[in-house]
Amino acid sequence: MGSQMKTFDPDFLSKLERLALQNIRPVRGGTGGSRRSRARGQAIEFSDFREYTPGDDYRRIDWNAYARFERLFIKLYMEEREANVTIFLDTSASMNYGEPGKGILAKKMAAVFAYIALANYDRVGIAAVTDTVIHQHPYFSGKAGYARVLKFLDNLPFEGRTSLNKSIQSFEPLMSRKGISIVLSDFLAEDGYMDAFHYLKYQQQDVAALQILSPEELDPSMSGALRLIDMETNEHVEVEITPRTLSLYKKALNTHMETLRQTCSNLEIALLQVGSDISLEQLVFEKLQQTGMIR
Amino acid sequence: MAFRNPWGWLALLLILPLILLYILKKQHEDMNISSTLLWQQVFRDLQATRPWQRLRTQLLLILQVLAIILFAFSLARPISFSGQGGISYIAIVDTSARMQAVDVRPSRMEAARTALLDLIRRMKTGDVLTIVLADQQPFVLAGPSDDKALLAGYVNEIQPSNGKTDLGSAVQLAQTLLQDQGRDGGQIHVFSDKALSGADSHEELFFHVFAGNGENAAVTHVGYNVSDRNITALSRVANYGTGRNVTLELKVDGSLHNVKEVSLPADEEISVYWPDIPASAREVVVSISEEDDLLLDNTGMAAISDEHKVKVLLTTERNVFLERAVSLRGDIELLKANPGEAPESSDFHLYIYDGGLPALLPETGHIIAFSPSAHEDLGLTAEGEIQPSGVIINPQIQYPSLMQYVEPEGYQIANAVRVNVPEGFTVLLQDRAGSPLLIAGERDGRRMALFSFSLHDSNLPLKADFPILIQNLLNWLVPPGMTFTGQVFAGDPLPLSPFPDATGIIVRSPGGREYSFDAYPPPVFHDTREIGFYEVVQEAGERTYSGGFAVLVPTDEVSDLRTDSQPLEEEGDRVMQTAAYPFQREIWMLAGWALLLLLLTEWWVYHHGI
Repeated sequence: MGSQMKTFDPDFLSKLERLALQNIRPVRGGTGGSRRSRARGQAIEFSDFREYTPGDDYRRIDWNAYARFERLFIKLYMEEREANVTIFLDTSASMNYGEPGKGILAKKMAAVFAYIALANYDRVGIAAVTDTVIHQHPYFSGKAGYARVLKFLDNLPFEGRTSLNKSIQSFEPLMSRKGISIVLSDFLAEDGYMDAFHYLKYQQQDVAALQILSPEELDPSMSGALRLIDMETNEHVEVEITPRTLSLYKKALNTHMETLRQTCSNLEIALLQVGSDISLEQLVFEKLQQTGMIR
Repeated sequence: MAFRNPWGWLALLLILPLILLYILKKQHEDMNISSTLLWQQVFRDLQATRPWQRLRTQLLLILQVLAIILFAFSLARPISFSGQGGISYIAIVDTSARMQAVDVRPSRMEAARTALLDLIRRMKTGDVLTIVLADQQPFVLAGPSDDKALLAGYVNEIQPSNGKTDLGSAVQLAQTLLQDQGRDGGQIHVFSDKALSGADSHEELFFHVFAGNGENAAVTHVGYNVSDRNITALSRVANYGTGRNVTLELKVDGSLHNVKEVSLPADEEISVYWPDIPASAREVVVSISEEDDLLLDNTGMAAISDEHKVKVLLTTERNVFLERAVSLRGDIELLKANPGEAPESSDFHLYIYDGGLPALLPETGHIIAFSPSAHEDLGLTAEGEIQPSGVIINPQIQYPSLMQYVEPEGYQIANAVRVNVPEGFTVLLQDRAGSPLLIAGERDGRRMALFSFSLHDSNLPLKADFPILIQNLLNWLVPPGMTFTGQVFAGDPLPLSPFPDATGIIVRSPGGREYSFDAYPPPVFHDTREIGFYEVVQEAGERTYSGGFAVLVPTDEVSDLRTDSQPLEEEGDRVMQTAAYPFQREIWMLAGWALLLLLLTEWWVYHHGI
């Protein structure tokens, strides 16, 4: 897995550098970046304070405020500045399913999104989520951090149950700072994803979702009488696979995907639904751009 | 509705395992998947339609049970009796002696008769039936008729014969009748214990076979040898079945004379000798005491000759060659007389004149004459002499049997009388110029053979075929059968050979029935259906010649009950029908199509769940 992360060839990476994550709404917070914002910043006029977080530009610390409150604050101005890009990577056990595995593509896309963001001087944070946030990489910026991203992704196991609602809502570093959140998951969670999306929107995030399903999930070719065992919960369903049941499954799958599409549309969330067998180039340079996630 | 293979219904047992499969809980194979989230939805959908699902399951079961029932129905080969009338049917009933066999209960004939009556009962309006009996000669017993009562009456009268039948001729006759009737769709139904090979090519031909694997033993031959003081009988006993011991009885002139127990190996024929039979015996009967599937051939018999001698008068100065040639036949009593010498008796059956021909011929008796003189009564002229150049058989010969094995090319004749060919005569031998050398013919019931040359003027007596020529002539003039002792198979015609002086012949059957014939022209006795001794009496004025013959079962043809029973596959399957009844139509094809439709429906229901 890790080796796959490291094998992006230079041409691919250079192509990525020409891309940028597209945010629908202005973002706020963070140090200077290449994103046009109505947020307050250095170049135009003072707008606000916020507490210092590691990585902030020392030069923008308001020492007067420190003198008065003995806490570090930085000045916020209406300016062009960096955005916080948070990548929520579903690392539940179900992501390790399919041929090729959904998780592989998800990790690669996490790396791609991180690289594009870093190349655009955005701050990137990665959270591996199951039913909680099991691992998280603090926000960082600069291309130098890309290697750390790959190393972080390499070491992520796929295990545990999926609960996007619980895990994303428990992710604290968002702190109502506007930014971009990208959710990479199969969205096959029993408790759904609605609360998570609402939470992200509440946290003033421009949200993009990438649903990755395996070919086996999109077009099952099983037959006979089967006891289908859930990889995450070990729950099972006994069904006799007939054309009738396969038809019902596809109907349920379509409903599930359509619901996700409808939800994202209502919440102004950019969505892309792909199979895990799609090539990375096609996904990045065609599908993502078609949906407007990147430009 | 009937079923030609009721065993096919056993396929219904398949329903049991089918239901068992439905009762038994299905074994599900484990499979790990990413999430059962969507499958739970499927399961809920299935649950939501559960009443219909249950119904669908039941429907599948019902459809599958129906499919098995149709399958069993097809295997049972159902027969529909439906059909439209107006069709010509011809029923051929085999009346051979084999049909008397009881290996099919109550007998093959009875089973055939019952089947034929059943056929008549099922006839539709407008159908006509012709009944043909396949006897020694096939003949139409009844019809064509649609009168069921009339036809049934004829059927009840059908009895098996004691002989063989010619089934092939009967079929040919039936086919001709069918063509003559000119009705389309006619069918020929043969009720027999065998099916003709090669009949498959005839679509209109159906066989109803009634045959079992019968066990049978038969007395195939009874003969005798007469010695000076007594008679020894020879009997041949054949076993057409498994090995067994049988008891043989010998009756002489109706009285039990001897009993023997013999061992009959399977499929073998043995000889049993019966010595010390009195020389006065006239009839010997050998019979098997034990009953088997065909009783008819358990008895064999022979009529012992009365040894009537054929009396022949040879008028010659001296002719050793001719005398020896004539004496070769054991039943000839030869008397010799000098030319011009009047015989003491005039009741000879044959007169041989070695030179000349008396002006006044005897009143009775056949004649052979060498170098005959002209005779007004016969219309025979004898003028001048010829020196024949070569001897040949007349190319247009009328009596070819007289020249059988005779090769006249080497005959040398120095002189012959130039004779004409009187009315009623034909030339047997002639010279190359066409002059008659041997003529033969009949005049007033009297047969004559006239040589136009003297044996003394030819090398004919020195030739190897001279005795053959003389015996050929004797067999024609005074046949050996004139002694009337012999054997004939039931149904075979018997040509009767009267003595020259006989005027009438009476034949009495074993049942006491009398048949009277004029002695000439020689009659042929046809009614040899009854097995047993027939008495023959020839009346010749105040004299009578008594003799007889035995009518026997043609055991070679009828005794092996298994010969044509090979199609039987299972023991105990006593009756096998190889054809449907004329009004029946096998509808298993229909059931097969219905089965196919049902399976398609089942497949559709299974896949669509509707």
